[in-house]
Amino acid sequence: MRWKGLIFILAVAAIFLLLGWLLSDSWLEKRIENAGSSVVGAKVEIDNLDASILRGYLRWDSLQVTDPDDTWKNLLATGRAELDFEVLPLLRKKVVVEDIALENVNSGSERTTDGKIEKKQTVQSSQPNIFQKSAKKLQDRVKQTPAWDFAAAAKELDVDTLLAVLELESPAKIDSLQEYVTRKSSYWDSVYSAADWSSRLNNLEAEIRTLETADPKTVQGLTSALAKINKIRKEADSLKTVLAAAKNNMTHDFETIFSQTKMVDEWIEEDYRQALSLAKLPTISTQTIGQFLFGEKIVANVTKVFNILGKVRYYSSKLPQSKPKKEKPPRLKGQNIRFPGQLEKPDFWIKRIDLSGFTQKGITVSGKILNIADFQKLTGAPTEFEINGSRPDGAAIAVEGEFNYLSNAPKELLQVSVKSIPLSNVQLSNSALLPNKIAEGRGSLQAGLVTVGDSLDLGISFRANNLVFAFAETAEGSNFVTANLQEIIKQTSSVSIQGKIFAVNEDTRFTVSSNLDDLFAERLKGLMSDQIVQGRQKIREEIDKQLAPRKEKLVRFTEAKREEAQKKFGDIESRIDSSVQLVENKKKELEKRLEEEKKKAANEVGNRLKGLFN
Amino acid sequence: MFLLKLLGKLIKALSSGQSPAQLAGGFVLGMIVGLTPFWSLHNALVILLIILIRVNISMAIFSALFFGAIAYLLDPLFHSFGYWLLVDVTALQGLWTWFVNQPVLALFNFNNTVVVGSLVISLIMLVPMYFLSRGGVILYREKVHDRLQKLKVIQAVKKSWIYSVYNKISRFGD
Repeated sequence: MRWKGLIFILAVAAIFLLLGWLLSDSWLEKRIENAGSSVVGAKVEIDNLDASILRGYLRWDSLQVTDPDDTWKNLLATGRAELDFEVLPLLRKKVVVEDIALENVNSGSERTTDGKIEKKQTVQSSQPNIFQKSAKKLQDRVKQTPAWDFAAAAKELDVDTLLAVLELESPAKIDSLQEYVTRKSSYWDSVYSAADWSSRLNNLEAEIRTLETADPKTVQGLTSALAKINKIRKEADSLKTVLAAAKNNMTHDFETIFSQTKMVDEWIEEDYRQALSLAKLPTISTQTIGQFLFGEKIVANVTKVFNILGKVRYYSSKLPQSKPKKEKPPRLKGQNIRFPGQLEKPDFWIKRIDLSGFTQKGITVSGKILNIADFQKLTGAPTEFEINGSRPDGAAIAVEGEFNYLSNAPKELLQVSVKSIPLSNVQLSNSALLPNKIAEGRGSLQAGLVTVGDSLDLGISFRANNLVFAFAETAEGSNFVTANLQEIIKQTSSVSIQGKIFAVNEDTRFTVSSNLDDLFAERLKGLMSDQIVQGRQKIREEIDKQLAPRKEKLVRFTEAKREEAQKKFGDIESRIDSSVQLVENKKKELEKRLEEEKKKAANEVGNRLKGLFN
Repeated sequence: MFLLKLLGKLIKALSSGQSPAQLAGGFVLGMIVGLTPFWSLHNALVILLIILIRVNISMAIFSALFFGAIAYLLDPLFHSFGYWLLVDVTALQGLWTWFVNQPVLALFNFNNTVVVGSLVISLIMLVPMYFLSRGGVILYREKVHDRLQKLKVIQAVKKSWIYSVYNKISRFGD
């Protein structure tokens, strides 16, 4: 035993304990901030953390969680907080928090520093969940919504320039199909040549002619001739069978080619749609107007919520698999294996959070959140939350929901109700048609989300009343169309919007309608329909002019090749049929003659026998 | 001056293990520290052993650094071996599950592939490496040491200022 070593260890341990007592709070604060930042993807900051591992509590004076989408604002901020946790589970690397009390909770507050961090690439689950898929689809959908440049739409459409820019795909496809027809036709030519039916048939016909010139008189001669005829007949039948099979296959091939030529119309239609999309000629309907006016705004807000819910589902429903997949972790980090055997408690479990705070609109809120855990099956309870708030002037907010990962199909329920919120400085739409500022008005929102596994159903209803818009000077790029539409808005004192998002697996449907849709549609149709119809017609004519001759040429070419092949095979077929007919006739003749000769011979024998006995 | 004296005493105290067995002991314990992830809890026990029992600490440090470099290169092998032990060998599932559910033992991270893989490999190598390194030390002292001292490069090192500083510091422990 090295006694000096023991003294050294005791001295080091004493120093560690002292440093731990002095510095553990700041060390722990840093660790929590780093862990939080890596989960959120933006800075998480805690002030004045006071922790006691032995007594099982954590306190802090303030917490700021940066909004990763706007790093100069906080997604969540709290004032003073107290957290009580169980000590013994820590020895099993489990964090079980009995309760948390949060004061001055708020969201959207301004930060004094930028909360951006350098993000490391996190390896997420290989399959995006329904929230991530739907968010992506909605964003793609919004990008595809025509921009409706009214000023440009009012001008004459330059089709030549448009089609010069657009690369039509049909010509290359038609050429490719034509090459295919040529190849197939050559193939059948080679089959025909290789089979050498013509010379085989010539031989057969020569044999039939030999039979015709021969005139056997005797029974023996006739019998031998009949045997030869049967042989020729067999040969002819065999030739016919082979030819029939080849002709069938050839016919089938050409039928397939003809069905493909029908796709030419679809290719041309697709080019037409591409041209329309490039020309940004919108379809005027209430559906497209709703999406144009409010779609982008709704999708932006919904995407934020979906991103959060997507992360919640990802972290909460990571069920230990019976055989975890082998990952490729960074060097020296290894992969932590979760054993699906008996586990008493989840690795992370907050039993209860009591919070109080305020919104940016000055509404005082309070509420509770129950059972946040990384593995709900061990807690046996879903995560539930209920937050309510109100203001003396009647503004109110209520949010309640449940995240249930107890079964194999994860479920989320969310209900949001906002009543009578002042709308000053709220922007209803990103469109330049609707003004940025609302001078007066109050709004109410009801939203309900239900998700089960890979299906999602979200309904949003928003109403704004007593609206007075603050119009700026004439909108930039404004023309008579824009001016007309803004007249409608000036006369509107209420706006109601209904949005619906429904998704199942890869299929996402998004509809938006508002009370402005019909008014706009009516006015726009009157103003722009002629221009849009003419524009579409021009594009159609030009595309038909370029592509119709090619299509015609392809069809004629294919038809000619088919007729050529059919004629070749048909000729051989009819020659075989005539030969068979000849053979049959000759056979009948010879059989008849044989019968007669046999009778003759029999009579002769009979007469001779009679002569013998007379 | 006081600090140098303290450092010298420390060096002398820590250099008290000189026999082949002590050198080999330091070598294999350092090997465990080097091959496994450094901040694993079991390494605290190994370092405690290195300090408390009479093994050569300098050799342990050298061995830890040497095998640390090797561990970086062999990390994918440790991960694969650890994965096989933790997931594919079903007979051991009960053992690992028991480990992760025990207080304090759960902190040893015996559910991590690199920790388990590297630790098991280093324990397998423990005994053979001990005898190999012990034999190596004996062979070195009998056959190689004298020849090495005569090499010009070694003589040059001994004349350098670094070596004279080292000598001074180690004498401070007297």
